[in-house]
Amino acid sequence: MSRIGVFVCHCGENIAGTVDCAVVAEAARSLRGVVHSVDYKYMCSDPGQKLLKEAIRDKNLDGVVVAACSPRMHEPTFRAAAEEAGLNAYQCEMANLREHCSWVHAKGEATTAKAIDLVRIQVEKVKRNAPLRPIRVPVARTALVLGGGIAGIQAALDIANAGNQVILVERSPSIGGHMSQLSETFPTLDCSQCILTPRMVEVARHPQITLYTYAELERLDGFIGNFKATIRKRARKVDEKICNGCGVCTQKCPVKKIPDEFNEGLSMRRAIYVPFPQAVPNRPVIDTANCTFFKSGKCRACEKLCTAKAIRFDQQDEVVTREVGAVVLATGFRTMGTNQFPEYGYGRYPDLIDGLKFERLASASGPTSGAIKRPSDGKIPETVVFIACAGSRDEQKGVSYCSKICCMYTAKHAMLYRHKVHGGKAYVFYMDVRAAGKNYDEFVRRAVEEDGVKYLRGRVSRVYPDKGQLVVKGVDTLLGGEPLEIRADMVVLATAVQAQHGSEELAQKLHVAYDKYRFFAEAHPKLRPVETNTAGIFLAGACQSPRDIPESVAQASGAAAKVCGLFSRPELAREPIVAVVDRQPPPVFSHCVGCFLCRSACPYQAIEEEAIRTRNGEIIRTVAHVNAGLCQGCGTCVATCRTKAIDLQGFTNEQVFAEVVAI
Amino acid sequence: MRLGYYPGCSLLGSSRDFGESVEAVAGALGVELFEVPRWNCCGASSAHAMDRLLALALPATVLATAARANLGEVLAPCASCYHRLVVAQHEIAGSPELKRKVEQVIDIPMGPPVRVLNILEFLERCADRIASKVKQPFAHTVACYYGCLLVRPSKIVAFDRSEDPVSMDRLVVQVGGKTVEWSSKTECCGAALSIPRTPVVGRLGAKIVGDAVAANAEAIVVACPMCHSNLDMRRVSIEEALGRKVSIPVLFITQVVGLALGLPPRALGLERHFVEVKLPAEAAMRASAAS
Amino acid sequence: MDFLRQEALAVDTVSPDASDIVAFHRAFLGSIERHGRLFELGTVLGYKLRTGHLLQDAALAPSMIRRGKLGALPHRTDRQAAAGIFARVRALKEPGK
Repeated sequence: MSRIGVFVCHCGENIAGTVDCAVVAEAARSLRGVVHSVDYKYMCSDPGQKLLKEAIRDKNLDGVVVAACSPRMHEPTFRAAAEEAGLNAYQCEMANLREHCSWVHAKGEATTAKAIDLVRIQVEKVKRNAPLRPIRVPVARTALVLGGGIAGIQAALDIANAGNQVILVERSPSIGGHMSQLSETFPTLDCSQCILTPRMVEVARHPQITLYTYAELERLDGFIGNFKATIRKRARKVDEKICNGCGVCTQKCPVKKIPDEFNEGLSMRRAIYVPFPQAVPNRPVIDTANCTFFKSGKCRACEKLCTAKAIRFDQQDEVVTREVGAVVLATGFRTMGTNQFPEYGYGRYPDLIDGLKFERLASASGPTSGAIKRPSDGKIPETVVFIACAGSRDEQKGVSYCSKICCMYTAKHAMLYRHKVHGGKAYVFYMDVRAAGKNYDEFVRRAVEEDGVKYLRGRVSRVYPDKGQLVVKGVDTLLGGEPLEIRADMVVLATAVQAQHGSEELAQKLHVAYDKYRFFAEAHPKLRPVETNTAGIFLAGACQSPRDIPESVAQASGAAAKVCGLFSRPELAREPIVAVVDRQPPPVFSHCVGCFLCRSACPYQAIEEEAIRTRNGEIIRTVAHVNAGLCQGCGTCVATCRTKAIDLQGFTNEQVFAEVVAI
Repeated sequence: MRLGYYPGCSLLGSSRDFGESVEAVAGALGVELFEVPRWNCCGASSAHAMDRLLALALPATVLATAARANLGEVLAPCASCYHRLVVAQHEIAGSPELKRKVEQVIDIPMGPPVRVLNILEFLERCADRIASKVKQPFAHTVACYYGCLLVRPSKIVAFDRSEDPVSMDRLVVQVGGKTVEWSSKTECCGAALSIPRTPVVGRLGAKIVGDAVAANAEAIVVACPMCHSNLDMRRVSIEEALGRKVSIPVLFITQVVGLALGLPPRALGLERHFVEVKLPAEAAMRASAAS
Repeated sequence: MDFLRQEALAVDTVSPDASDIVAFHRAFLGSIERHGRLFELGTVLGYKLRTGHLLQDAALAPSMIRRGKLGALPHRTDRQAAAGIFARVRALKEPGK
């Protein structure tokens, strides 16, 4: 016979103001199986929990119903208290008298009657509850970080410094990401590479970090704590271990006219190249699509000239698999191209560039050694117009969101231009100036007040070429809204930040949610910003939404902290609310008929095949098996199963039907 | 090929040359044009500036009449007529309430939707026929001027690119010409302000003509009677605004195609222009020598 | 933009600076109502009478006529259909008048 205890909480006036708690407790006392029923002002308080624990011990309760607020609030509280008193946590249930009753109804008999119904339902369920133990899953203490930009680098260092192993996979031949392309960073105007390269080197040297560059993730199988990552290391056609980084091959390669991606097409690179001088690893890679040898079998100049004999034309891609316990997504962003703007010439005017191109012009190690020069004729522009919000905040023709970083980097660009070209005129067409970070607003003020940048609040309707210059037609809405025209030598568009190429495919590979702009989705926008809804996969940096360097670094450290938390124990405890396929003695073995409808219904890929074998290893039947590590307890398979062979622990069919019947 | 045909008021009067060239080219390409019976004026700018219902009713009558005459496709060479027909059809199709009101006003049922073609779409469709019948490649360098109504609003008209269209340029190249890159392809000519605000049309036209001349074009090619009128008939106002004389001629795209097909200039209405159409012969020879 | 023009007419707040433009449109639409198609000569004359710009473009007329671009008579089409449309539009706006 059950021995259930009922505890009706007043929750101050939240419940007691509408529901007559004493009456509810009285009614519960008369339910079959209930041996203890009280009401109290604040069950979640220390005295309230003490009441609970004492009753469990004194009355030898085997089930408890706390009729109070929503289980989302205090289920863990009361379950922990029950465990402390010696009762299994899963034999404690809550009836929600607040969100489901007192907060949505007026005071009256009907409301109290409903409260009594809610209590009775939970009592009937708890009578059928079985004790459950958390599931323990082993954890591999290696993290996989996808993306070698500043966010990936930070996350990798933090996780490795905490004593864990890290595998950092970067798609391009060097780590560093967009930050390595920047000239100076706001608001301090620190040289970007100067602050980045020490971190890059630290990653390369770190004994606990394995760095795979020019590599991509092919597959991710498994579940939290136990992922299996299949990584393709693309062939550089250079033996990295023998190459000594002398660079002779990159100077002598005869194929010279390939637009350099790192310099955003402002200069050319060769078919064998190192992306930039500070690249990590400092090893060249052969661009086989453009290499003469790979196109026609001739040349081989690099091979002949290589002092270390490190060229390997026959090198193949290497596919490796690694066991990892957690994944950090830090794949970064790209910027919208200037060809997306019909009013600004579809990207055909060489002197109309985007922010990244301007960074390369301004960069001391860039194609012009830091001089601001027009791409068309190399002359120094006397008038530069900067257009903010190009493509952002534009429902009609671009993206609806704000790209966050452009107001700041536009101010920075205008300042750098004015510092380098003293007599030059800089105009910024803006809609709003968003400079919300620390020292950010002061930075923009400096651009206006000290560096003489002219800010015009208005949009640019058209840019067109005329006699070697670009005519910019805009408006100054703060000075009456008269249309104005500026003849500019160069126009810089602060184009929208967008999701990285290949984000959608990667998210689908990892079963991570993403939004319509292909940014990866966090588990909760306010309270869980570094986790995804896929257990064990975390987010860092701009792959989630546009953000600047300090935020990316902060978030990367946050993701690293989550990973370290995950790795801090040798085993992972998971809620036992998982589905289980029944097993019976022979000859039935299981009510499962092997139709696997559950497998197609499961949103988490948690259903596997299990072969039931004879002692000789012959297969008798193949039935479904739930991987407790992946199962999230949604119950879809339970609803789908035709033979009711699968049941959800903690919410069994029997328990749920008992609740329904009790209404 | 058989096509419905809606010439519109200007092709009968002030842009008679356009009408003549359309019919001559259609004839040369073996296309039969069937005029929409008893067609009425589409209302042009005046209707939509003054009264919304009237502005929908007038083109709706044309569409309903065409549908009734089993003309599933209608060529409307005038860009303004084309625009009014397409926009009216789009708005009426989007609102059953509006459709009922319009049908009540025009006193005929709307009938099935009619596909309206502008002159550029029509010529694109005849691309193969044109290719096979070119007798004298039009070896000149021209500036293609699209005006406002052929490519805007892009969501409704859904034709070519709205900021830098290429369809007319492609047609010119197809018949042996070269086109220039210039910045006034879709700038407004002033349209119906030709009479009530002539100086404005002069100023706007001056920018367009000035840009075409600066881009070294031998002629401006248009696909709209209003644009032609404002750049050709109003040349005096343009010269006043520019402060100098400019003799760059303005041709309709159908006249360009017609010349390439070997049709005589008179049949194409070339002698009705205000600005004499004189294309440098040496340029033609130089061009054909270079190509 | 058209909405603003139509509203300005409806509540009678058209700027006097735009009276020429409205006069032109009225002349144009008057021609359509009467003839079903644009009678250019009639429209221009109507515009001149409404605005008083009697000599505007006077020099243009002979060159237009010489080029066959200005007909002396309106074109033929179904005038009653056009008149009917205008009448019904007017009736819907001012029922009872």
